Amino acid sequence: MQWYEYFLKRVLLFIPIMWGVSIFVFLIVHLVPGSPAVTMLGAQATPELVEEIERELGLHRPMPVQYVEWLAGVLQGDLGTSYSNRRPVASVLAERFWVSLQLVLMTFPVAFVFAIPLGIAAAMKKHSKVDYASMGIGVIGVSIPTFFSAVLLMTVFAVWLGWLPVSGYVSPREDLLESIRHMILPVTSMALVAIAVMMRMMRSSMLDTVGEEYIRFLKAKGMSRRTIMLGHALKNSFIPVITIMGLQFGYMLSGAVVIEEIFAIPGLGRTILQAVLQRDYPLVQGSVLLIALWFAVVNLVTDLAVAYLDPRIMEGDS
Amino acid sequence: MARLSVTDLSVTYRTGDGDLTAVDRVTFDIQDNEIFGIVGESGCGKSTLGDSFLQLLDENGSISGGSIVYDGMDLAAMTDRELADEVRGNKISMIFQDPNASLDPVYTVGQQLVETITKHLDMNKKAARERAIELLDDVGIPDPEDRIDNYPHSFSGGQLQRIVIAIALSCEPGLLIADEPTTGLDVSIQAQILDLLEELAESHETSIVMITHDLGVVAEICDRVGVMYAGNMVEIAPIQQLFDAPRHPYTQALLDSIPERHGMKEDLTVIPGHPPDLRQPPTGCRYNPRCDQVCGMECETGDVPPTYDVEGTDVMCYLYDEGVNEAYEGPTNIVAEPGGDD
Ligand SMILES: Nc1ncnc2c1ncn2[C@@H]1O[C@H](COP(=O)(O)OP(=O)(O)OP(=O)(O)O)[C@@H](O)[C@H]1O
Ligand SMILES: [Mg+2]
Repeated sequence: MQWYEYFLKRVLLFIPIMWGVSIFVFLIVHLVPGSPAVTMLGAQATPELVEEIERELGLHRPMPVQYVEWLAGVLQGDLGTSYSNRRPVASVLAERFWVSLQLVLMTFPVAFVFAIPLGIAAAMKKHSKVDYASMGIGVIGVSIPTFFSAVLLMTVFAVWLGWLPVSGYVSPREDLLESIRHMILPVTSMALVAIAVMMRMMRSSMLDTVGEEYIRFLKAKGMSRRTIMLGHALKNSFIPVITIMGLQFGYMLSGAVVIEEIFAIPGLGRTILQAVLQRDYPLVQGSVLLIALWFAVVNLVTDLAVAYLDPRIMEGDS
Repeated sequence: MARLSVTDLSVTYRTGDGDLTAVDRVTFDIQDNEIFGIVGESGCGKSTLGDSFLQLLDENGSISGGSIVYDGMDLAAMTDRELADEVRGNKISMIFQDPNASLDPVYTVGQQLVETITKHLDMNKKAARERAIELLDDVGIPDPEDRIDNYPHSFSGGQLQRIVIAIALSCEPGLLIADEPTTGLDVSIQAQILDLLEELAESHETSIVMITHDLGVVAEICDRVGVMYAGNMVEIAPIQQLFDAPRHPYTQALLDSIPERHGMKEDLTVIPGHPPDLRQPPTGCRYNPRCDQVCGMECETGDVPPTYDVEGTDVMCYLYDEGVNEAYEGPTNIVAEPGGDD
């Protein structure tokens, strides 16, 4: 199979996946008990008022009709209007998405730069100081909850030392330097987990690879240890790590709820949390769709990267 | 002339419960252009012996004594770096049992040939590629110009073993160690690979150490054979002599366990009893607990028997000791076939 064929095939897979997601997203929200009209009205809800609002929102019509209308709107970029602040969902999400994306794009490279070389070094020098240090970081990273490391970092660097702002968000377009200063602590606490996960994966994948028979054959034909480890073992062991990195990358965008809450960052994670609590259906739907799309794109890129490195993938697919 | 001389070689593995000497004071030579077979039951130390030549032993294993002299160099005393630069793949190559796992899946076979050639020979990439195509042709890969850019997964097991052989012989080594090179292959392919090895060994003037538990393989291509038992090389003989007049009781049992002696593709069937635990080998001859010809005290309580030369066969057995023979009026039931040795 040719490279572009594989690419096309993966891209075409997008359509059924996203369609399935749209049905799912539509249904979960509409099958949950509790009318959004009641939520919107709060304490002053009377049956008459509730009915009026429901009529206004179109909630009384049959579900398939609601779905088709909703989907038609979505395809034109109209995700409805947020119940809670009466703004178009699309523009709310666009705003929040860029904030979260900034967080991800700053965290991921930091995590990568630490995790991958450390994982490789640990695998190459098993039972050395580097290996034990990496294991320590790994255990700390995955076992200390994010909220704890976040609060700790905040207390030390923002409250005690006063080097960095305690919380809040500044757009890079407004003030790049301030924006970065505000991001340092959240990025650090988020990167800690990602470093632990990616490094452990890199290390164990590399150790698995080193036990393969072809490594022995490489040695038997006189390849230097450097060539074997960095030329052969690394490329092979990086393939499963890409998948894990993709998951991390996907998860960071929406999964940073705790970080966003603690540091008061108006990102996607926080938006979803608030939308769910307020039964802001259009906002929930829009966010879930956006995140699904994000995961699908990340997944596509991951698969293409794996297929690029591993010649067996495209072959097996044809 | 001897191409490789192994003298008193011992290899020890460190394990959780004590040291294990998997190869114990083994001595033998490999001649120029000779195919030397090493046979024995599973666990007798064949692979350990083969791995020790290029120091490819598992991490917990090391050469604990003796020497391996090739071309005036003692391989046992060389560092990993020296072996990689001067010996492995260049003077001595090694191939393994599973061709499907022997090549890196993410590089083309051409890349894996070229990297070997450019490492050891003074050639640029382009010349190395030309040579790689020739080598693939030599080992019988059809359309080598096209196939050279394919990845390992697109070849069959037999073809992969041919490619592995091409890589191993790419720098004209003087010695090839082949550890069960046909065991992982279809029976129909096995003979082809053996023929190929035999043919290439002759045209490249390469000696081969053929490690196998299959006496059929030995019968087909070996010139001389060493029989191993529990880390000892108990008998070394020219191929015909081994089959016609086996001297060691273990060799005799081994041959008896094959229904048709010269038949092909017969795996060794079981000899009663088990090989000893190499962490605590029996005193005397290591085979004595299973031996049907124990000839005296020495067998059970003495040292490991010395090697006796019996009409051109080197055999480690007290049966052939003058003193024992006198005292016990000779071995009781040597099964050497009449007219076997000439
Ligand atoms: N890494 C190791 N650590 C400890 N013991 C080992 C190790 N490798 C091999 N051994 C032991 O050394 C002995 C010889 O093993 P070896 O693999 O050389 O046997 P073999 O003759 O090649 O057997 P087979 O026919 O099954 O391949 C066995 O008793 C085995 O259990
Ligand atoms: Mg073996």
